[in-house]
Amino acid sequence: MRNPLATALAALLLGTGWLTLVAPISHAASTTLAPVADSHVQADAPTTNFGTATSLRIDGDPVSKAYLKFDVQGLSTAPTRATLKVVSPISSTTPINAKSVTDTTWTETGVTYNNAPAVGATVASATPSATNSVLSFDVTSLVKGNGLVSFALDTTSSTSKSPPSRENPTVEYRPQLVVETGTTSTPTPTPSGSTVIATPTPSGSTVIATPTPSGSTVIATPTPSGSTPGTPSGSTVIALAGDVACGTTEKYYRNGNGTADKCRMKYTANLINNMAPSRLFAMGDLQYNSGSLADFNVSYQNSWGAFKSTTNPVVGNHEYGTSGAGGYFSYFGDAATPRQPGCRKDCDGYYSFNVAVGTSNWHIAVINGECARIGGGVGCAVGSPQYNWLKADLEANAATKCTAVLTHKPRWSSSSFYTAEIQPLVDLMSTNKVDLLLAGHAHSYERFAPQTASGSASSTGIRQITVGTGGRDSQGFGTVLANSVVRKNKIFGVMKLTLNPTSYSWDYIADPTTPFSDSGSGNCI
Amino acid sequence: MDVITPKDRPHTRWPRHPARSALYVAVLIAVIALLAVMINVTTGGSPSQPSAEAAGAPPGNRADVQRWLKAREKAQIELNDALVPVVQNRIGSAGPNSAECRRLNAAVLALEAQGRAPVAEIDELARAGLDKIKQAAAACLAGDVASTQRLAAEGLAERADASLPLDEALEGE
Repeated sequence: MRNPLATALAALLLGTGWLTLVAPISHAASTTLAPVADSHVQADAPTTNFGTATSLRIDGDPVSKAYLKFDVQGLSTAPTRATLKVVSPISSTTPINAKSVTDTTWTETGVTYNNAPAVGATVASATPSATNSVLSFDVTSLVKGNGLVSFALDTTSSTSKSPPSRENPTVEYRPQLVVETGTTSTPTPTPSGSTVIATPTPSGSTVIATPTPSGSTVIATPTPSGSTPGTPSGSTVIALAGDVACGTTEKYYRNGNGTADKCRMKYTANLINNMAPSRLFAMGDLQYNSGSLADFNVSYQNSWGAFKSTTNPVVGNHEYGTSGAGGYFSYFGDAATPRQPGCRKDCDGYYSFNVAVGTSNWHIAVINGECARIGGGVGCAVGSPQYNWLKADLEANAATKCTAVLTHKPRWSSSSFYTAEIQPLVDLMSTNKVDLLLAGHAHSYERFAPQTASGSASSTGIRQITVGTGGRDSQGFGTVLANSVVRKNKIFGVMKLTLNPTSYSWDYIADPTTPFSDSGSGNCI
Repeated sequence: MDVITPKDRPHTRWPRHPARSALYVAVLIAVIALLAVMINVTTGGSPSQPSAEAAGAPPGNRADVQRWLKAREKAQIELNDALVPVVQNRIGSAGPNSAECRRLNAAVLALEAQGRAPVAEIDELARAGLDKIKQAAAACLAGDVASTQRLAAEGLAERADASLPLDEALEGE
C-alpha cells in the first residue's frame, strides 16, 4: 500500500531538484539506524496486519498506532542521546506522541490491534507544524545500550497521519533512530519537535534543518513518576478515579477483597500507593451503595482512606443515597465543603483550590453535578448559586494559565451515564478556557478530543476524560459519541495526571489483571 | 376488450382486478406502517419492550435510551433555567403576560413533547415532578404566585427524590 501523498511529495521534491539528500544532522559520534520492523495497528481492523505497508497510520479515531523496532548494536557505552525521527506528510496542531514499548517480541508481519504489545508512557511529543515535517523525538531514556528497542507513536488527533514506513520507496523518508555516543563534541540540545524538509541550498541539496524555535514544539517532558525521585521539577502528579468502594454488606465485598470484576477498591488503592501522587482527586460515588458513614468508615477507609489527607473529593449521586449526602460530608469533613466549614449534610459540595506546580498554579474547580440536590432543585441552571459561584471563580482566576474542573457525572458519554444538566456550567468552562473536565460516574474509561461546549471538535476546547474505574464494577457503552477517541470498559485502574506549568499529560495506570494503557499530553489553552 | 378511460373509471370503487387490489392494499398497509414508525420516532411513542439487540443490556447502554435522553437535553436544560426565577422568588408580577410564566409554561410543554422513553421505568422516573411543575406553570399564568412556588417546590422535590432511582434504573440495578 503506497502513501500517495508522501510519494507525490517525494517525487515533486526530487523532480525539482530540491531534495537530493535527506539525512539526519551529522555528528561525529552518531549512528543512524533503520528500523528492523515497523507496522501499525488499527482499532477498526483489529485482526489485520499492515506490516508490508509503505506508510504507518497514526490516528486518534479510529485509534491507530505505529510500532517501530530498532536493533541497536556496536555501542560500548550508553548513548548520550537517542532521537527517533519520522516524517509527517501533513501538518497538524495536535502532537504525535512517542511511547515506550517494553515488549520487543512483536513481529512486523504478525502484529495486529488485537495482539499488539502494551504501550507505556509518553516520553516525547512533537507537532507536525507543516507538511513534510521531520518529527524528532528524544527517546534517550529508552535506549540503554545494545539490543532491540521498540517504540509506539500515537495521537489524539482524528486526522490520520501516515509517516512513510521502512518499506517506503523513498529511502530518505523512512524512519530513523539516531544514536549519539562519545564526547568528541558536546551535542547541541535537540528538543523533541518538528523541522521542515525542503529548504533548498545553493548546491541544490537539501538537508533536514536544525530545529528552530518556530519549528519545534516540545509538548511534554518525560514524567516517569509523581513525587518520587525522577519527576522533573515543576511538575505535580495527581491520581484520580471515581466509583470506588463497595458497601460492606454487598454480596461481592468479601471483607474488602472483592472479586475479579467487582469491588476492586483495594487493588486500585495499591496503584495509587505505588504512584505516590501529590494529591488524589476522588471523583465521586466513592462509597456504594448509598454512601453511608458506616461504610465510609470501613470499606473506603480501608482502601482509599489511606490517602484521605491528600484527597480532594467530589460528591457523586450514590452519596445521596444517605440523606443530604451526610455520610460523605461527615467522612471528609471540611475537605468536601471548604466554602461551608462545619457543614455535614446538604452542603453545596462545590469548591475550588489551587495546586502548586513549580512556581505557578493550576486552578481546580469542583462542581456538584447532582443538580437536583442543590440550589432548590435547579442547582446547575443559569443564575443558580452554583452557576454564579463558578462564573465568579473562573473569572477571578482568569490569569491562571491552566484550569481543570472535576465533576462526578460527565457532560459527555458514549452511554447514558452522563448528565446534560451541567451544560450551563460547561458553557462557563468553555467561555473561561477550562482545559480539562475530569469525571467519573460511567464505570469505564473514555477520553474525548478537545471540544466546544456544544460538543464540536476544537483544538482550543475542553478535553473531557472519564475515569470511572476506581473499583466498583464495569459498565458498557452504547452509541459512540463524536470526538470520543478512546474507550475501554472491563478495566480497573486510576489515572496519573501530571500537571506542568503550561501543559499536562495523562497515563492510565491499570490494575495488572485488566491491562490497558492510554497516555498523552496537551498544552493549556 | 373494452378500454376503461379515466372518465369511465368508477370513482368510488376499488380497482376490480383482484391482484391489483391486493397490491394496493399491501402498499396501503406499508404506508400506514411507515407512518406509524415515523410517528413513533418523532414523538417517542409509548414505552416498548427492549429490542432483541438490546436484550440483556442495562438501559444505560441501550442506544434507544441514549437517543431519547439526547433528544430531551435542550428542553430539560431550558426547563431548569426557566425554573430559576420561581425558585428564587423573582417572578415579579405573575399572570398571562409575565415573561417568566410564559417561559416556564413553554419549557414544560417542550419537555412533554419529547415523548416517552423506550423503557417504562426510565420514563416514569425521568418525568417525576413534571406534572406538579406543569401545574405550577398554569398557576403562574393565572397570577397565583404562592401556588406557583409551592407546586414548583413540590415538583422539584419529587424530581430530586427520583434522581438516584433513575440513575440506578439506567445502571440496571
